[in-house]
Amino acid sequence: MSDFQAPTSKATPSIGDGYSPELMSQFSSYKEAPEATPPTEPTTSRQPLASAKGPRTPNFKRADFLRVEGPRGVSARATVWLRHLGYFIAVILATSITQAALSHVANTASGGLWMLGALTVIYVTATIGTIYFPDARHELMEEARHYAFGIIMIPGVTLAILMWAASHFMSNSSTDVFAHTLGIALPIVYVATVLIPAVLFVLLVSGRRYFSMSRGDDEKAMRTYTRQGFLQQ
Amino acid sequence: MDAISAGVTTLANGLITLAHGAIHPWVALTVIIGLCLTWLASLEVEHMNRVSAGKPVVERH
Repeated sequence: MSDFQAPTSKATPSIGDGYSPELMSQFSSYKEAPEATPPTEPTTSRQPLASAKGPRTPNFKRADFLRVEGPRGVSARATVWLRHLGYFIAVILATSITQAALSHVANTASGGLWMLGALTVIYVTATIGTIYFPDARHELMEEARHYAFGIIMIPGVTLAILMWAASHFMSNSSTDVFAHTLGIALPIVYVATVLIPAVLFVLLVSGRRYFSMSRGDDEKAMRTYTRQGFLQQ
Repeated sequence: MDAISAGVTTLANGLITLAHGAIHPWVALTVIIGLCLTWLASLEVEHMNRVSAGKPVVERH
């Protein structure tokens, strides 16, 4: 028992023991053994993230992404803000064009305001939905964008231009049956295109708890499980 | 609690004013849409920040 000597130089073996550092330096996972006297002053080149301590760390700093992503992270976030600014400008443009086209059309003289009201209902519903259903935020944003742009705005503007053309280039006499039919039918089609989708979107969001097995759930679950965000792929 | 009641009162007064027509409905609806889009954009940026910092992207279920 007297021959036993505790190891003094290396307490635990590590990768690369017995090989020269020059040979092992070609492997990225190799780390040289620390010197006997570690530096007394701490290095400032690699500071840990403020949020790297765990999910419950209170001092979560939003600027941490600068350390990870650099200037590219700033441009990615600026793109998000500019995209939503573009949505806002598109909403104003579409409702203005619709209002200008329908201002002299009977029964739909306030068509642009109807469209703006429907878009307001959709975006307010989406905002409230992101509070109540935080695990479906991405899907709610996509659905709101699809309803606002794909169902209401673009078809609504197209219909408004068609109604403006029909009211301008067709005779207003009561004997023109086709123009009379269009004057009755097109406002109904416009209402069905612009106003009813807003109601359907409210029903969609309010019933999300019960229709949770939607088509996007598998994709969202994998995205959450693999921690791959929609803009980080 | 006072702040909440004051906020609700302000909101109710604003809606009453809007209903009376003192605020142009175009302006009111545009402002509401702008606020909602700001909220959605901030959520998207917050999601990117959470992914970048290794935080859970879903707060609760």
